[in-house]
Amino acid sequence: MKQSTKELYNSNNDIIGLLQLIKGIGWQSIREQSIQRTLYLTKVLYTFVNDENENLFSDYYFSISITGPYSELINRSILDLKVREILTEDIEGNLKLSQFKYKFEGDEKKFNWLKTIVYILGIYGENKIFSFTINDPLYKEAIETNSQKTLDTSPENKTVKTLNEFKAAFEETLNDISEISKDEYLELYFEYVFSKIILREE
Amino acid sequence: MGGFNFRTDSFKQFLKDKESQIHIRTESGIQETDNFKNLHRCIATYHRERPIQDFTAILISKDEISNLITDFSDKLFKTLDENECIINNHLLFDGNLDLIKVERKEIKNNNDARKYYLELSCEVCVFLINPKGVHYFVDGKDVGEAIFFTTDALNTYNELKDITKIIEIFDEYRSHLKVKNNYYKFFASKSTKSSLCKHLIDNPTKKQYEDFNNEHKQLLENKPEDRFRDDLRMYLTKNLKATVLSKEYILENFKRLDIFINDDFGELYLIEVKWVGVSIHSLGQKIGTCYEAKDINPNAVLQTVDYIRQLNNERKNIKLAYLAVFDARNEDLPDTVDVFDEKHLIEDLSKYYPRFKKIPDFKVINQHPS
Repeated sequence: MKQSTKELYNSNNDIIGLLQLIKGIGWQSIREQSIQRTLYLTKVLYTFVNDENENLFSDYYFSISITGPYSELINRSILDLKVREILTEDIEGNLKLSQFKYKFEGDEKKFNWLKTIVYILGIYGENKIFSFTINDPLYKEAIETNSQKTLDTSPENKTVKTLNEFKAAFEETLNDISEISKDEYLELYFEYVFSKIILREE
Repeated sequence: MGGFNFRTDSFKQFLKDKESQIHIRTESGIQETDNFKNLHRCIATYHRERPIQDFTAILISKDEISNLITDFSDKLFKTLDENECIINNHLLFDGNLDLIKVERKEIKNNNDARKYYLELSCEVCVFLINPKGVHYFVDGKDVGEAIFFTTDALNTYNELKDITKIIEIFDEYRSHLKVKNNYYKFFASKSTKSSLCKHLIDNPTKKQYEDFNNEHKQLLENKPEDRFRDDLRMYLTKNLKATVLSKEYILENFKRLDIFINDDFGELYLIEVKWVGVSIHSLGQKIGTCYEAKDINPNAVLQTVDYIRQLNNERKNIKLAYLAVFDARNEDLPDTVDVFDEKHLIEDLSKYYPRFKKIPDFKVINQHPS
């Protein structure tokens, strides 16, 4: 399989998995921009929880815009899935799987990570995904410095560093942190960011 | 968030203070399982999509959660929408998400309710749907309680108006502008005006001072556009449930947009800020700038519509562009854009004009000069 075809296949699979998961938590459809933003968070947060150098979502390269990060691969993938009628639009132009039979196939680890992200975002709802994205340290730094480059989503990116500092504060302060998993740190971190959003301290 | 600092003593002290709550929240248990999370997120979605004004407790045992069916969201929503579930407020489910038992219970107050559900959660998991959210209790503990924000903070946020109500916020801002503490900063102070008087009139008498101050009651500070823009931006940041950019946004052609707003989904709204009236010169020794309605209509309208065109050319999804004019003129005059002649919309501007909205002028009156 050609590299570009393989990337498109994987991206299609990720998007199908994402839509399968959001349907599971009761979201009937999702905006195209929310897919872009969710997959951005999926990639950028990956190495905080998963102790490995290879990011399973490494095919995505994100550019910045004032309305959030943007990957051309995801854009092509959504178009492809629409043409093949795997994705359909609801009355408001939001996207959903056309049939239940379409399911994520393949790497269970990838699907589980998507699930982790969806379950965190599911606490707050689709209309908070944008706020979480524009408050992401890596994205925010790029916007503030007017960086036109592709975002650095390497394993040691700014977001992961921020998360490690968050975790370190718990480790240095609390007597017993043995029961706090990395998924829980991530969940707590999102709650912290949400607190900044609601307190208008973005 | 880019500037978050988790190394501070205050953050660490905060964690210390919340230690027991953090342990309850993170200890292993049913709440850490996929089935529990899936069910909780589904109930949270249901809560967001329905007008909840009452309390409903969804009860389900840990064993049943462990054996939960898959793809249950449609079934759960359909059941919760049935009369039986709306009329009653204690709903016991099994793992197939079939209703086992329904009851209506009256609990007098929040403290009693909390105590009751903590006790009840020793037997079954309790998901308490209430007007403000979904709370859950497991094993006699309030496991789902937030660490980093209070219910009051969340309530205050939820009561903020979203972008669809921005016109109401503009109207409230008009009242805000009538309060001395809010409007005084726009106007030149009495001492500044006295100093100006000395520069314009040779050896003024006391009466001349007083007359000068009265005649120049509406004299604005130097560069009032910065003060007006910052005041409106601050007000919107505090009162609008949206993201107001903390600084001006620069277009690709380096033009600056005054106030830029992203709604919940990242859609863009802009506000161009202008003013009419008279301001003092930066050196304070003479009158500075004077703007009249003819400076606004048509030029400011065309400028704002042109911004819509430019953003559109930059492939930005601009929803609406507002023109806000602060009116500090001496007389009570008609709106600065009472009537706009669309003949001014040359080239292709007319197709962007429907996305332009003129906010009725914000009158700023120096009722009690200081």
